[in-house]
Amino acid sequence: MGELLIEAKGLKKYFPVQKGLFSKNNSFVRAVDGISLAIKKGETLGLVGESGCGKSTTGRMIMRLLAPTDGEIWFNGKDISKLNNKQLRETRKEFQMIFQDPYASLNPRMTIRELISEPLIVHKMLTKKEREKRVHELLEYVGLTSYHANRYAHEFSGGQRQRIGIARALAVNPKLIVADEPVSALDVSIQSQVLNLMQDLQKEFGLTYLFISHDLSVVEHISDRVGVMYLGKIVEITDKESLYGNPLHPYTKALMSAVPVADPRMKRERIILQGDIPSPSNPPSGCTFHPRCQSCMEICKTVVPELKEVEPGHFTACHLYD
Amino acid sequence: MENGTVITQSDELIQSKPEKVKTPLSEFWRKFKKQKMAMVAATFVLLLIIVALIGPFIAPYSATEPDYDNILSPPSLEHLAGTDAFGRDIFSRIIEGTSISLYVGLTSVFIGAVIGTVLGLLSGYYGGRLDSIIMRICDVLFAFPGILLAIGIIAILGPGLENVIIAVAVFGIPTFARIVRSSTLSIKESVYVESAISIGAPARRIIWKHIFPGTLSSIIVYFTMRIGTSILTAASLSFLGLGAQPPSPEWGAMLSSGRDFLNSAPHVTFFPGLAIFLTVLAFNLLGDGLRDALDPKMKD
Repeated sequence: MGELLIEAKGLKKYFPVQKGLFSKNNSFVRAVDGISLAIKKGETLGLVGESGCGKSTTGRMIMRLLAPTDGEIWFNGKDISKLNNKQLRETRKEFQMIFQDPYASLNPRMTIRELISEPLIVHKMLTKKEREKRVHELLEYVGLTSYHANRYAHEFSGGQRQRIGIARALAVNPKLIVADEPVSALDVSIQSQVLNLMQDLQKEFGLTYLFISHDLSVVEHISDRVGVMYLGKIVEITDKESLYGNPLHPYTKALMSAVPVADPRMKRERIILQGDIPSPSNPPSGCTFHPRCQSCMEICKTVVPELKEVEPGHFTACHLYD
Repeated sequence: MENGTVITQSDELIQSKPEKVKTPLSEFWRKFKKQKMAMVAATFVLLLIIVALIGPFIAPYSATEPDYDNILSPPSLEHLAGTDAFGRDIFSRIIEGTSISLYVGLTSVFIGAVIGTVLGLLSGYYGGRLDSIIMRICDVLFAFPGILLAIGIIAILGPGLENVIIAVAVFGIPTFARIVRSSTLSIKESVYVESAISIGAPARRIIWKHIFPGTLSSIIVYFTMRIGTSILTAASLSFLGLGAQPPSPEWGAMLSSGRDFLNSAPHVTFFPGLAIFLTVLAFNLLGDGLRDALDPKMKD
């Protein structure tokens, strides 16, 4: 560990808001508003946050499924945010994605063999015979067997489909896998199987994961480091132990207090946030969290807090630690 | 757990039975064969195709040789549908005319479908200016009443069966383009297309392998329905004297030649009219059945 695989700097994504037929659009939804993060080789970075906080948009920008409005994405020493279409297509074999909904992400008109071999065909890897072998190999990696190859996705359960999705992502030996809520559509009993599979594969192939989820316990299970997002920004990012053991940002504290604990006698204070997540098209001034923050100070209403290293390796964007 | 094993990864996976892969085609057939009307229509269409192929060999009389001893004779055992003003056996003419009507219907719809589908896919996938141009051209074509457009095209190209095919094809293009464009737009947003983009598939592959198969079911349904309309339009054009020329046993031309004897010999128009009616009805019913069988939302 140590070498950076991917680094995003000042990533922004603004979606224009269409107002009317003739008016120019001059307002934007700031889905992601200046995010910087780095993932080391072989590491898993978890990204948590409420729905609508921009975590999926971040994942999609890193996958370059969305073009960032601003910012740079350095992957293995290349800025992939500036590649043209053809270069981008070729680079895509380096990073693959696992999608949230295993029912929608597999083409219902293709057999499993076609689905898994598609990345190989697209990148002109292996001959037909070798591809066939590779498909069987991949199916076995993910806990399926060769005779599933001729079937269609609708014949499988959610967990099995997600395994197929993983096999498809693995086919071209990518370095980075962006997993966008890969288990949130699955039953709890299947979730852990898929998570364990992902961890086993990581060990075996030295994969690097960007793991996006709203489920704190899932993220704790799989991640090495965790970033907490709120309204298009990272408010706290650090390794798993210090985030779960010693959260600094008031938003993280509130999130942590919401995780259920398997001990009915344990008493603890739950921080209940007031109000809803504000609209990203019109975010609050200063620290975007200040209207809901329990330790809000005067400065929070006007000055945007920067992400600062408060303890070694522990970054947070909060004026409490200035 | 009987033997006390822990649930391992593979437990959920082994249960699927081998054999019998449910392909989309077998699913389609399972749903289609439940629909009696559509099955009857399909049988009739199949019969039409057979008649069109072997027509000249099974027709009891010649379709074009006049027989002046039997002018306008009413239906009898000898002439099942009677004879026309030249004494030609109408039943034989209908049989030989089948291939003309089917040929016109199928080729014109096929041409229209191919061009319309390509335009619709490009328009829906790339959007932007290309989309605007293609869709505005379609709007222009839509603004003409169908038959008028066809007459206009024939006025430019001159009468004849080949030109009827072109005319009918042209006014099928915009409808196909629109249908395909709208399904392209919805499929383009699907996660599996995003997934194909994320693995690095080029646009050509995405359109051809992921989007086109998804639009195919609406194309097939509309194709089938359209054959009926095309046969009808082609017959109308022939009726107006713009299509098949006498003595060709085209059904529309037969109607046209019989209209002078509507009172004295109604069978001359009745039987070709019945042939057109049944054929168009069969294609429409078949189209309905296909739509129900291909619609993924209709479960059983």
